[in-house]
Parts: sequence; structure tokens; C-alpha cells
Amino acid sequence: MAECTPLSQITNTTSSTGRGGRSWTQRQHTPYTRTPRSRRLTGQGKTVPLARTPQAPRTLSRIKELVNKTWRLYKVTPLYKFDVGSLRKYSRLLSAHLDAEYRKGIAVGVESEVADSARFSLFKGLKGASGDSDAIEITVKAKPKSGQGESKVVLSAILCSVQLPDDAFLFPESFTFLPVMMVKGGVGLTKQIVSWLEHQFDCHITHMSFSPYDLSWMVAMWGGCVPETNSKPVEMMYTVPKEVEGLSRITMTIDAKVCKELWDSIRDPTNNRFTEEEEAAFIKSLESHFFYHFKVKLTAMYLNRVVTSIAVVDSSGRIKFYSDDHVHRVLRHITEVAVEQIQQK
Amino acid sequence: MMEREIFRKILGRLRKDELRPVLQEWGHLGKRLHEIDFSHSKHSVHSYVVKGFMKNYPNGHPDAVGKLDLLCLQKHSAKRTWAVYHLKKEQDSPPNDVADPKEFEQRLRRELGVDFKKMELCVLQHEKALWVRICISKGSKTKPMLKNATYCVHFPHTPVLIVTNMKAATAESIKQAFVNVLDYDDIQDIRLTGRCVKSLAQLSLNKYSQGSFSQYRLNQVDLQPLSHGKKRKRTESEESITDPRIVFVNQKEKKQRLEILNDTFGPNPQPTLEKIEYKLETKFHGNHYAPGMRNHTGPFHCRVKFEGTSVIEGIKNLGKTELAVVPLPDHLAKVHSLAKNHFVLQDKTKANKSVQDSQT
Repeated sequence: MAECTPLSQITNTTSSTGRGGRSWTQRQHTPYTRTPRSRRLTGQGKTVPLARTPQAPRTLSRIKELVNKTWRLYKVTPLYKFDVGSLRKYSRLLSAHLDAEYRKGIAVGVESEVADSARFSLFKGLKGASGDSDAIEITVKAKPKSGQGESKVVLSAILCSVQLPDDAFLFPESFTFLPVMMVKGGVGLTKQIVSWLEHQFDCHITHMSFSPYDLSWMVAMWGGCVPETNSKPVEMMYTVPKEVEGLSRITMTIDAKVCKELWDSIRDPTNNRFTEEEEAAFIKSLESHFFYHFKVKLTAMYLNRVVTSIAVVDSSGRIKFYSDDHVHRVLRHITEVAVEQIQQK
Repeated sequence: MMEREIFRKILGRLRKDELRPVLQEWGHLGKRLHEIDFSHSKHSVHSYVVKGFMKNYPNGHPDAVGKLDLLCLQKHSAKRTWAVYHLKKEQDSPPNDVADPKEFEQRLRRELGVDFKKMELCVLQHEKALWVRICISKGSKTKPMLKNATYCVHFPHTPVLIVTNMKAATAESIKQAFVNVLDYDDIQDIRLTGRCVKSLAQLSLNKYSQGSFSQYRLNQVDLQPLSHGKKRKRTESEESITDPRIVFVNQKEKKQRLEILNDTFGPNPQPTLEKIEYKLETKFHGNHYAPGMRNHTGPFHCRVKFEGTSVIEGIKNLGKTELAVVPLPDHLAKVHSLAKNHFVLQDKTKANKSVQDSQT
């Protein structure tokens, strides 16, 4: 996992909270977690590891399937005895489980479709480093109740891990760590799959939610990524505390080009990591621009939803990718946040 | 039959308790209204209504659908977003206005009949305003579609027109028709939108008597300043916490803040607006945290939106709960007197000064 650990980069960060070298046990004993002083912005080192392995064009197109769809994010603790070779066995077991649940009369009968078959498969193209496990995709197909028509995909879930941070769990071989699960599908069906996975692999799957602090990191890091085509303005939506009756949300939308100028002016281009100071500068400068005009303290509101040219994220864990070039960058950050949240528990 | 479905659709929008009064006002059921038992399920009541109507008018009635639709809309006007238009006149002569719904309908029919062959038109008077429903059909279709209906509210003898659901194709003709009928010269979109027709009317008609001046309009000012009895009632302490151990240190600042807020917003409930949008084209003012932007010339384009159930009230509460620094800037605090909710904020430069002068 540590084949290209840029030690220099880790020691570069400000003194007290060097993230490298601390095993996870140390973290467990402190009542509070340190918020990171800096985060990886681009990949480990200049060369993206994927560039080394020759890729068939087919793998690239699978990432395109992730784009422009709203996914719900879950965090997954390590899976026990998950064998990549027995995917077919798992498909059979899951299909049987869904069938049994349907016969019991629980859930899925509400829709006009009957969950028919589940399939586990490898989702190529989402591995960040060779230390990551392969991404797994679960698709559930259903046939319409009337019997005619072909079965269509009712739920699609992807378990992945993109460039796990170096000080993540050090666990024995029998565990597979895929901390991020993205699901697109109905709520009832998702619940069934989650309970089956928890039962089968002795793991714990929970919704991933982002605090306003996490969201402000995301908008600060990605606010300057403006792809050539299809650039969207950067938007931050704040919800107003309940004591203020009548007003429910304040949205600030910044033109993409101008936002990039601001981002470039804050950024230190030599440093590969995005520091806390830069994040604070970005958010505070925008909030003070707002305060100058409206005399309203945005810092006291809760940042709820963040839109950038490459992704939309909201605090309940829903995410939508806009640009397939940057899916990796977004997922890498999500992986990091998921690992942090799991370690907190 | 198509009409049955349309009737059911319109009736479905009403609540159970609203059915009887609306049908009574509609009047097309006549005596059969008393035969309907309203305690049955909604679906069966609708069937009875449709049957009753068919018996009364076996060949249908051209205005029935329109009138029912308009009556339903009057009850549920908050379901649509309305936009306010201002009618303008060049000279100072008073326009040849209409207040009578029948005459208004006749004039409108004449004007719109020039452009459109097939249309449904209905004018009703409701709470001092004329409510108009215009439903225009495209050439090939025989019956106008329900979802294409444009609804307008006009307050007689005022230059205000509140419109919803205006389709791009017919917008110009409808606007021009109103201008001609009401004897004005031009019509302008004053960028005021919302869901509550009453509030929109209040904002546009009472533009100069909002905020603390609303007290005069609503006759709340003490006409007998020498009698002190009333004043004693007003100065009630708002603190409901009576524990003597709690000491409020900032009473003075709180009082000052509330006084300033009361002066700007007035003691009366604010008109409800759902959204206020600002387009900022000023220089960047966050330079304290982003020193690299000090050399940035040119405007920092961004948009800000305040949303909620009653945004003006919300802004007042922001000041109350200290989430905003009081006194608030004018473009935020004086929204009640500005009669619009889409603003553009620009730096005060010589180039912009001419624009500002032309707008006032």
C-alpha cells in the first residue's frame, strides 16, 4: 500500500498533527479527533498510478456511467472474508435473500416490479492505487409484475476505495476495506441489501453525512476546478437556524471564472496538498464579501449543499458527479472522509 | 368525454369543505346542488356534480369550465407564482379605466379576438379586484388546454397587473391587449414575483406606505397624544423569564436594536415574499482574507438568494437574533418599499450613475 508514499509531503505539513506514522489505535483513545491541517489535492506524486497500467478504453467508459446521476453515500467498515473470486456465489446468495424477503411480504412488493436477480461484478477503473481493493458493483434487476417486458436495473450499488490514506487501518489479510458505497435505487431495496451485507461480511454500514466543515473543505478544494466545457457556477447553500422565522435558506452563487481567479490567488502552486489556511482563506473571503454587502453573518449559518463544476454534494450524503475526468479526485476525498468518520466511531 | 375529465381535474383541486361554497358561486348546478350529499367520498361527490351539470346543460356550456377554474384558483392562488406588471402612461391624463367586470370582459374579448380565433375568457370580481382567465388554443386543437390558461388580476383604477402562467407565445398579445383595453401606453415587468397575490398587491400598491409608515395607513397612530393610558399598555416587557437570579447584561443594546428594527420594518406584519434575489457586480470585498485579490479589477460576479416562507419577516428576525448587524443596508431592509425582489447591486461609478439616474 505504501509503494509511493511521499514521506516528504507528510513531514511538510505543520508540526503537531503529522498524519503519517500514527497507527489507528492511537486515534481511538482520544476523545476528540484532530481535524486535518491539510488534505491531498491531487494524486500521490505527480504520476497518477493508473497511468502505469495500460487501460482498455472500455474501463474508462464505466466511469462515465457514474456521471450525472445522484448517488447516496454510505460508509462501510472492513468486510470480513470477502473473496473476489466468489462473486458468483455472492450473487446467488443475495438473489435468494431478496427473493425470500419478497415472499415474506416485506417491502419491495409496493412497487410494480419484483426484484429478480442480483449480480456482483468487478467495477474496473475506480482503483486509485494498487494498494486499493478492486471496486465491486452490485446490480439488482427486476422484471415488471405483469410478466412482459425485459428486466431492468432497479438498484445499482458500488463499493469502492480510491487511494486509501496511508495511516488507515492496518488489518489482517482476511479483511477487505472498501469504505465507500454509492447506491442508486429505492430505499427499501437498499435497506435489504445493506442488512444482507452486514450479516454476510460482519461489517457495519451507515449513511454518510457531511458536516458544514466537510462541505466547506470540498467547495474550497474543488472551487477552482473549472473544466473547459460545461463549467457550472460555484454555489453554496446555507440553511438558516430555526430561531429565525420566515427565512429558511440563503444561497450564494459565484461565477466559475471569477471563483477560479480567487482560488488561484489563494493557492500555493508548489504545494500538492491543500492546507487549512487556504481553505479558511477561501471560505472567509467569500463570507466577508457577503457580509460587506448584507451585514449578515454567514459564518453562523449551516452550510448545507455545495455545487462546483465537478460535483454536487449535500449534507445528507447525496452526491452527483458532473465531470468524468474528476470523478477520481472527488472519490479520493470521499474515501478519506469516510475513513476518518469510521475511525471516529 | 373530455369535459368530464376536465371537470374532475378542476374539482380535484378543491378541498372537501370548499366544494359547496364554490359550487354555489358557480351557479351552473342550480337546484341540483341541494340534491348532492357532500358527506360521501370526494370521488362520488365529483361524479354527482358532473352528472348534475350534464343534466342541466346537455350540450355543455362554453363558460362553465372557465368560471369553475377561476373560482378554484381564487381559493388556491398560493399554488402558483405570480409576476407583477406596471402599466405606464406618457401623459398625465387619467386612463379610461374599467371597474365593471362585464364591460371589461367585452373589451378584452374584442381586443384578443383580433389575434386569436379560439379562446376562453372569464372575468370575475373578487375582493376589489378583477380576476381574468384567458385560455387560448393553438390553431389545430379544437378545445383550449387547461394547462395553457393564463390568469391575471387587475385592481381597477390602478396601474397594477398581476399575472401567472403566461406562455411565451401569447405573452406579447395578452400584454398589448391589456394596455389597449385599459387605455395605457406601455406595460413593464417590475421584477416582483411571489406566491401570495395579496402581498404582491400590497407591495406594489402601497409602495410608499410600508415599514413604519404602515402605522398611518392602518390608522394605528395615537390620535390623542395627551392620553397616556394606551402607552402604558404598549410598554410591556418582552422577557418572559422572571427568575431573579438571571441578569441580562445587554438589555440596552437589545432595546436599541429592537428600536432600530421597528423603525425600519414597522410594527405590523410584513407582506410575504418567498424569494429575494440579488445580482452582485461589485468589486471583491474579501481582500482581508485573500490578499491576492487586491489587484483584481473588474466586478466579482455572484448571485445571492434569500428564500423562505416570508423573507422580509425573516430578515427582520435575523436582526433580532443578532445574526445580522443592525442597521441593515438599505437594499435588504427597505425591500418592503422597493416593490421588487430582483436586484442588481453595482459599484457607484460614473458609468453606473447615468443608469441609476435613468431608473429613478
